[in-house]
Order: sequence, then structure tokens, then C-alpha cells
Amino acid sequence: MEISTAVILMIVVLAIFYLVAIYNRLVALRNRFRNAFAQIEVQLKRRHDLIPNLVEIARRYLAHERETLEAVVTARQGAVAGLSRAAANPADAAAITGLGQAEGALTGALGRLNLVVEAYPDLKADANMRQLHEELASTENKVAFARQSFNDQVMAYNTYRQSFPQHLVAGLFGHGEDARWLEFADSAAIQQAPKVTF
Amino acid sequence: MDFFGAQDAARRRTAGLVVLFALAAAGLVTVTSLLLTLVLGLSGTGPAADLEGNLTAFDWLAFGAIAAVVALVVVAGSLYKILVLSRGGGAVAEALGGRLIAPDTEDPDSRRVLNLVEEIAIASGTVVPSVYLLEEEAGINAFAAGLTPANAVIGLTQGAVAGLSRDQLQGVIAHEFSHILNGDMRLNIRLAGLLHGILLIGLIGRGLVQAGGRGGGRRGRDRAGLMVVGLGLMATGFTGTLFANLIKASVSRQREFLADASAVQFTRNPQGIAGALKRIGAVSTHGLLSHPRAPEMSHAYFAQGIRSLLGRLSATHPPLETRIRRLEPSWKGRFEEALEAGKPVAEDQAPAVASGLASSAGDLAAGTASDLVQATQAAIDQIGRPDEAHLRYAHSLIGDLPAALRWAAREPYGAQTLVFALLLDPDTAIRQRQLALLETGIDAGLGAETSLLFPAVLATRREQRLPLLDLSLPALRQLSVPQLQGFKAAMEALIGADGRVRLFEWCLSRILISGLDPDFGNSQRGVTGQSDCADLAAECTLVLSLLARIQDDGDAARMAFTAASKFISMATPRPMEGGLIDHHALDQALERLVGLKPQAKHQLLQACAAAILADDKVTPAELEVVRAIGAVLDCPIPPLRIQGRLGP
Repeated sequence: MEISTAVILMIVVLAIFYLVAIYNRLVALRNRFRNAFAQIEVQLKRRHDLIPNLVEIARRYLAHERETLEAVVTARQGAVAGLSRAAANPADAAAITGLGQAEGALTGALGRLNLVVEAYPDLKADANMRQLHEELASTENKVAFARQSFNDQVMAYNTYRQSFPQHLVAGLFGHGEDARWLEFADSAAIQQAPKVTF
Repeated sequence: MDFFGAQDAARRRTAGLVVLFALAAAGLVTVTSLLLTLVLGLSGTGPAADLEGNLTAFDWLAFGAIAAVVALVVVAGSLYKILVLSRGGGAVAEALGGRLIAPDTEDPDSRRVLNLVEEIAIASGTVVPSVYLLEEEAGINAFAAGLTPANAVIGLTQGAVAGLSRDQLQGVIAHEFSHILNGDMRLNIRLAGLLHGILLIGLIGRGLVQAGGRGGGRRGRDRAGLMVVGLGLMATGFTGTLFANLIKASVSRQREFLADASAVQFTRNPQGIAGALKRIGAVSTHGLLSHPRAPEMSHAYFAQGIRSLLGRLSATHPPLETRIRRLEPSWKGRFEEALEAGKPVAEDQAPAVASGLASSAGDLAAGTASDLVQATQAAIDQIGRPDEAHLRYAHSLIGDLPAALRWAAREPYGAQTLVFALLLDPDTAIRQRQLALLETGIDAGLGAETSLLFPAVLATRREQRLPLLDLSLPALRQLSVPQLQGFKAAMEALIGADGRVRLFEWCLSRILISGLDPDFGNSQRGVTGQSDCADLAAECTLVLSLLARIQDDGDAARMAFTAASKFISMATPRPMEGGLIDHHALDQALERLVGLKPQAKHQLLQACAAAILADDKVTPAELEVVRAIGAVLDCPIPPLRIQGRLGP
């Protein structure tokens, strides 16, 4: 047994420690963004729960706007399904993208409903409607905040995963894929008022 | 045992254990190295590869080198584990497969757990810990993890959350809180760390055997060598682990009895915790945990969490029967199969609470000086050992809070606005300026939401404000690092809006910083020093001068200061004169006071209690300052009570 063998052994031991540390850190970071998703889930559920009431009240005034209301109801169903799929595994990039699209569609449908509501002063003045509106706005603030938190944690995970030397071993440890940011895809499209084509 | 005595004892015991473990580790290193040297020598090249030749020409240099490597493995393994476990309870809970229960969960079972934890935290004067659920575990068990009260977490198995009644759960959670308050966390972390180092030898051995077993292209001789070395390491490593486990288990069993006793003192309801133990005995899974890493935290559970190989000798928890008998001497020895049909209590609708709190701290007539000292003593003894009266007080304090505020405290966005609303100035002009700062700052919505909450906050009683802050901490811990920075900046802007730091603002930010550690720029967590109060007399005097300063008038201030000086020797005979106390100086003084040893912290807090009790009443402002001091020093301060009165 030479001194050099002992030195090599020591280096091997330290390297193993380092690998274990990397693995644990990857797991911890993934847990963190999973937990952050729980916060989004709570707020999105709340948003989804508010919408049927909104539609119910609007229906009383908007006899001729069936289509807009139906669109909101359909978009909500899509968003509910997207949420339960994403909540099952927030590390699943496809599910997160799907949720982002479904929520984007819901926001779009709600935006169109709002435009319609503007044309009905009675509905706009309805006390229940105003309260619901306020709650929805507040919930949307919270969703945005929770989403920011989630995206921050996802970024921390992705950055760690992609850095040297972690990226060499991340794949072996089952952390080969970047986690996906949650973006409500077509929120930009909603900003543009509905296009009128002739 | 009181909080400080327990902390001290935990430290002493740790020292003794370190010696025991060091001996065990040294023995292990010697045996392992001897074995390795012989085996490597035997399988080594060269013609003299016979046992006799090797024994005569024992290679001391090789032995030394191998011993150094083995020692390095043990030490590095221990340090690594201690480092990981010290990172905070959340990391430990997640390693066990825990999922954070969202503070605003609407699941009734989870809600019930969170409400219980909130009450117990406020009653014992700590910030509310985060709660983790082990969803995969059907056994009934729970654990506490984290180095200090401020970064502790509580974990519960699905079996416990679903299978226990409210009273039983309260007993279990109180038991876990007792572990936190009794200083068991630090002890446990050291123990787990040392054990891990020893365990590693065995684990490496197992790795070598596996490598030898499937090593495809290698020569048979190499493979056999690997196997022999591996088996040898496994044998010595696991033998070492076994003995280390025995040491750990014997300490752990004592701590369990203590935690049971403290939990009963806390809830005054032996049936609760005894009932939980009986349920564990009744269900088929008992308290057993299935997670592969469960053994690492075996000492921290509520009940035996892993099968004990050597029966009682290596069990980390005393037998259920013994624990139940200690709680309920008349027990017939029958485990209860079914949950007793308790009437469902709607959470969030606090049951009516008797308003008059029974006096148990002492019916001392505070007339003479010595009586006052005794009363102070009784009040300060409540630190770390809150009782049923505190629990009821906390229950009513939370129950009286408007629902809007309680809901806001439960999710990160609302919790932020709640803290901002607490910081808004009653003066309209200053408040307008503050709100403008908020709206131009991080998020336009925040200003609007904050002003919505403000009237409700303004309507709360002063003594409800710190509990509001405590309640909002689990939600605030969910902020991401950039969000936390934005929050901190906004908070500082609000505090500075009127050009000065009010006392309440200072207290609030101190408690927040200690509760949000470590992302909040507080690095000195879990430090216990060696200093005496005499070493830091100037700092002690500054802190006590602050308490004298907030008395009604000069006479009261002198009285408070004199009362405090009975407990501690001051740098000056009089409270510090002059203008305002600089909060930077105060912060610096407190940071140095963190270096006090536990008994000296006890002395300082006694002096603080004496100062605020000198006029025979405790105002919320006084209590806030002591809470803030306690937060920096890592000492929980329950609502102090004198002569049966709690708080003001």
C-alpha cells in the first residue's frame, strides 16, 4: 500500500460525497418547485370556483350572448382538466404547457366576456357582479404572484441542473429534463382586442 | 425542566456522547484499518504473500495511510450529515418524502392540523412552523426537525392526520413541540450526524461487495479481493453502527418520556396523547414508516418508526405500553380499535373559551420586593414550558381575529399585504405616502389590497398584532428568493417612510427576520456561545435601558431598571440617558448577545421580565419588545403572565 494509493482512495471518497451532495440538491430543488406549484393550484382552483357564479349572474342579463358564455364555460372545463393533470406532476413539461394554454384560453374568454359586460350597464352595476369581479381580480393577483414564485423556483432548479459539473451527472440521476415555466400562453393575444374581419 | 436548563443539559449530554462516539469511531477505524492492511497485504503482489510473512513484516506505513482514509470517511460523513440536517427542518422533511401543506389548504383534515399547530406555536411564543405531510405513510407517526425553534418544521404521516381525533392530534403535536422546546433538535442532529459517519463504512463495504459481484471483465482474483474487503468493511461498519445505534437509542428513549410529560403539561389532557398511543398500538402498521431514508431520523418520531432489530435494546422509543401507563396509570392494556365518535368541530369556528384564565402561575401577592422577584421567576419559568392556560389564551386570540385577516395570513400574497397593513401609519398623510410607495414599488395590486386590509388591522387589539405576524410566517416562507427581496425592500421602505423607526416596526422586523431565516439575510442561526452576562454588560444594559425607556414615566423607568439589576449586573447604575436609542446599535448589541450561553440568556430574559413586571402589569408594547429580543436570541417567549393574568 503506497501513499499514492491512499491519496487516490481519499479523492475517490471525496468525489462520492460530492456526487451525493449534487443528487440531494437536485431533489431538494425539484421538491421546492413542486411545493410552489401547490400554491398556484390553490389559487387557480379558487378562480375556477368563482367562474360558474359569474356565468350564472351574467346569464340573467345576457340572453343574447350565449356564445360568449358558452366559451367561458368550455374554457373553464379545459382549465380544470389542465390543472389536475399538471398538479399530478408539476415536473411534466407537457402538462405545464397544457395548463398554461388552457389558462390562457380561459383568460381570453373572460376578457371577451368583460368586453360584452361593458355594453350592459345594468349587469355592470349589479352588486353581486361587482363583488365577484373584485374577487376575481384579487385572485388573479394571487395567481400571478404564485406563478412568479413557481417560475423562480423552476429557474433555480434549471440553472443548477445545467451548470458544471452537475449537467454531467444530472441525466444519470433522473434529472435529465429542464422543468417548464408556467406561462399563460396567449395572454399577449388577449391584450389585442378581438379582431374584426370584413 | 425549564427551557434553558434543558438546553444546557442537551449540550452537556452532547459533549458526553461525542466522547462515546469518538471512542466508538476510533475503535472502528483501528479494526477496519487492521483488516484492510492485512487483506491488501495478503492479496498484494510479490512472492511473500503468505500470512506469516505479512504478520512479521506488518506494514505500519500502509496501516497509517489506511487509518487516515477511514478516519476521513467517518469524519467527512458526519460533518456532511450535520451540515445537511442543519440546513433547516424543511430539507429533512423533504428528504423523508414530505409535502408542504399549503397554509391555505381547504382540505378539512389538513386544516385541522394547521389550526392545532398555530395555536400551540402562539401559546409557546414561537413563530408558526411549516407543516409537512408524509402522504405515502399509512402508519401513525409524526416528527419535528430543524435546528432552532425559528426554522423547525412539524411532519405528520397521512395515517396520523386521518386516523387521530382532534385531541389526540393535539397531544402528538404538543409532544413534537416539546422536542423543539426541550433542545432535542440539536442533540438529535449531532447524533444522526455521528451515526452517519460510522454507517458509511458499512455502506461502502456493501458497495464494494456489489461491485465485486457483478464486475464483468475483471480478473477473478481482483473480484475476490473486492468481495473480501467489502465483506470485512460491512462486518466492522455494521457492527460499529449497531453499537452507535444502541447509544443513540438509550438517549432517545429518555427524551421521549420527557416530551410526553411536557405535552401533558401543555395540553392538560393526558387522554389525548395516551389515546394517540393506543391508536398506534391498535392499527396494523403501528407507527412504522416505509420511506427508505426513514431510519436516519428514527429518534425524532412520535413513536417507533422503524423495526428495532434487537427489541427493546435498540428501540429509539420506549414500549407503547410503558408510555401509556405513565400517562394513564389505570390503563387496562387494551388498544383501542376505533376512533371514539367525537362530535365534529367545525374548524375556524373556535369553540367558546372561558374568558377568565385560571391562575396557575401563582397567587402571589406582589407587594414586597421578594414576592415580585418570585412572581417574575414564575413568569420567566413559563418560557419553553407553556401550559394549558397559554393554549386557551392562544385559542381565543386566534378565534377573535376577523376571518378576513386570518385568510389573508394563509397565502403568500395576502400575508405580504397583512405585514404591510401592520406597518401602515395611523396618520393619514404618512399612510398615503406609504401606500404610494407600495404601488410604485413591486406590484400595483399590493397597494390596493393593503389598503383594503388596513381597517380590519386597525380594529384589532394591540396584543393580537404579533400573533397575526406569527400566523403569516408559514405563508411568507413560500416566497421565492427574488420575491423575498422585493418584500424586504418594500418593508424597509414602509418603515422608513416617516423618517424614523418606531418600536413596533423594529420588533416586527426582528421577528420576521428570525422566522424567515435563512433567506432573509440572517446568518447567525443556532449559535450558542460561551459568554456570560458580565462579559457583555454594556449590551445587556442597552437592552434593559430600552425596556426602562418604554415605561410610563421617569419613576417607572428607574423602578424597572432597578428591578432588572437584581438579576444582572449592569454597566451603569441608571438607565442610559440621552436621546433616542439607535436601532442599529440595538441590533449590534443583540447580535453580540446571541453569543451568550443558555444560562446567561436565561438570566438576561429574567432581567427583562423583571423590568416589564416592575409596575405589576405587562403592556403589549413591553411584550412585543421581549418577544423581539427572544426571537433574536432563539428563545420562545410565551405571553407572560403574572398572578394569573395573561398579558395586559
